[in-house]
Amino acid sequence: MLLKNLARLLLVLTANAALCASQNHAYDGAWWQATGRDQHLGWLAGYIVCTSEPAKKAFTGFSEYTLEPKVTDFYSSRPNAINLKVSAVVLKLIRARAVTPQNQAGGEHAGFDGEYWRQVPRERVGIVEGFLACHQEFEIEKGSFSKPASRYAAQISRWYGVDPNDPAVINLRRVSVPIEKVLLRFKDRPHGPGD
Amino acid sequence: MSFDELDDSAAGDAGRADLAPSPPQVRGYLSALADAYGLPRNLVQAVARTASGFDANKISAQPQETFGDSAREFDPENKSYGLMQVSDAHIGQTVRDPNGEPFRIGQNVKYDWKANARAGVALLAQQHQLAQLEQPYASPREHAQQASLDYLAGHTLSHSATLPAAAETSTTSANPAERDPLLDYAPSGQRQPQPIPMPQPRTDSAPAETMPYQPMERPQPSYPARPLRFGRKPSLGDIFAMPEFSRQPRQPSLGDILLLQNASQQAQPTALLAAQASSTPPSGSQRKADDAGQTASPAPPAQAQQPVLQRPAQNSPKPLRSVSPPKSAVEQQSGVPQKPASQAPSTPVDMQRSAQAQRGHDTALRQILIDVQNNALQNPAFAPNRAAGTTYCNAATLKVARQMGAPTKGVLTDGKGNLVNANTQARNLGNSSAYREVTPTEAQALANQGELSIVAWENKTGGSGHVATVRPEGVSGDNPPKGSSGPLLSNIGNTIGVLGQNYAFRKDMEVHYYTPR
Repeated sequence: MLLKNLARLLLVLTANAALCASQNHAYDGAWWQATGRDQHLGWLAGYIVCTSEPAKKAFTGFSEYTLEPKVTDFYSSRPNAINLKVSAVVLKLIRARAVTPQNQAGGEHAGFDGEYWRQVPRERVGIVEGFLACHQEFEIEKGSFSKPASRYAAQISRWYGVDPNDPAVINLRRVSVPIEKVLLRFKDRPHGPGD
Repeated sequence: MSFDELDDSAAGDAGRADLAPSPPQVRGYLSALADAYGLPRNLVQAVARTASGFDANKISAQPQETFGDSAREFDPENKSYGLMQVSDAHIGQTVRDPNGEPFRIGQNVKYDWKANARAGVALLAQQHQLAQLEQPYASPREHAQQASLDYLAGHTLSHSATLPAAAETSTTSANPAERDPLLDYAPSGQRQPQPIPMPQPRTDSAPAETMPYQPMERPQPSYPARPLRFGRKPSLGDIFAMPEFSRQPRQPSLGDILLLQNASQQAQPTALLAAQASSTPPSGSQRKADDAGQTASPAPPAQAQQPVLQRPAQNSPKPLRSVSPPKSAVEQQSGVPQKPASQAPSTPVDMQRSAQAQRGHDTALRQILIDVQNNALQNPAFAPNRAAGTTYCNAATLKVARQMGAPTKGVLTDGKGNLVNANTQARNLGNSSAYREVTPTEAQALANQGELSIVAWENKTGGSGHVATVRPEGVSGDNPPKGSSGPLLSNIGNTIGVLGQNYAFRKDMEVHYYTPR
């Protein structure tokens, strides 16, 4: 009986550890160099989606397209920084540039809506990963996300009405809803996600 | 010649990346690069001298170009490095080595003087190639002038066209005389641009007198008229005070031959050649008409001028024939007219030569279009501003169109040359006499041949519209999303990349394709 309980406890601990590992993915230089440009762009976009709204970080003058080569160069030229988190590199790059107050005003969501989501099929999982990394990093009190990023990506696509057989199709009534708001619909709830 | 071979053979003991190379090492390496790329040695040397004073360790701040106003603020993040002053904005760009193989400009341009020289000369070669294509009638001196000006003033393609329109038109005028900053240096006899005779349109069925294509001879290395001492503060005048840049009899170019064929057949020249032809003569009124978006003017009357290219009298005149290159599947489907077809060929040799010239022209045009689009795709100035929620599809399309020699004034810009938004561009394209609407299939076929095609969507609900250029198919490195259909687009806007029309535009968006007439 004792052995059986011990085994059960071990199983639970292992499962939790695995889940935590999947959620606390080490988005560092090793991950960056092991993944491709599409995933980089998606991750950065998701990070910007998160920081531009809840975390209120200034990304003036930057986008995923300008940051991606800079982050790649950063890791390429600094082999010792392989364990440095991508978010730390991003924030370092952003802080290096002076931001004038008037430039901080602008679009609330900077184009990260259903139309953006529709156009970047290969970056969707990365967007969720980047968003969740930021969400976790800044301990944003908007709920928790316990499922794999790919699951959220599929849910978001369904919500937007993206047709997997026809990329030109999307639900026009939902196309302008920001990605972040859609993702927050699927956060953990006592009664399950609100899909 | 590969870079490795070049390093081994040209620089002698400079085989390693010295931090402070000696002047002979630098000159030797630059000369070897110039030879490998087929550039005049003095052009490369002079650009390096002007850019950095041959200082391999020079670092300087670069102006950051901004849209919306003409101010150019200095951005400490954007620096230029080394011999050729390769900037941060160039790092990551793809250019070509002397064999035509693409390579990426890396971080090592900051500390490896040879890498810096390779990147800089590759960028300069790109400018030179573009100058030759844009100005087929210009002299080697003018080609070198345009290339060096674009390199030094704008620091390559990615910057030059992002300048405010007024500034750009002032630096890249169609009139070589207006572009020449060396008027104060050149002898008075060379100050006036020499009118370049246009070919006579043929009114009868007799074949035109032409001469076969001959590759332009590379100028022999020569010593500058004024001794250039290492370390002296250089000037642009140094570049063109050199004997090899003095005006000299010109060899025929591919553009000459094709234009002669066109004229002889009363055929409409290709869009780019038409643009070139319209921009070459120094006629102010004609240029204004072109800038205003009018159809490219036809060649001057036959009686007024002599043909540029004539066989020597002792040779029996034989017409140069043109043979259409093999049609691709999409060309056959679309029915897009091939480059001017020919009358019956006279000799197999002429026919073969002409076919080769035609294919070479198409390939060169296609590569230019790809390179111009690549530079726009990689240009950080066109990346969306996420904080402000602004995108730059209109500016990117304007840049590509300008680089391809297409009419832009009054279409992609307003009458004063100022950039207009995508909705206005879309509306103007539909109303412009300088552009014609084509089907999506035609647009793709034209892009495959290296011709510019623009896709436009006017958002009639008041929101932002969108414009993009059509991308040639089968470009190495392109990886459009799975399920892409319709013409491939070089899409720059909220997302950036090569993708099919069905990704760039939704089903409810009514898009139209245009190409210069």
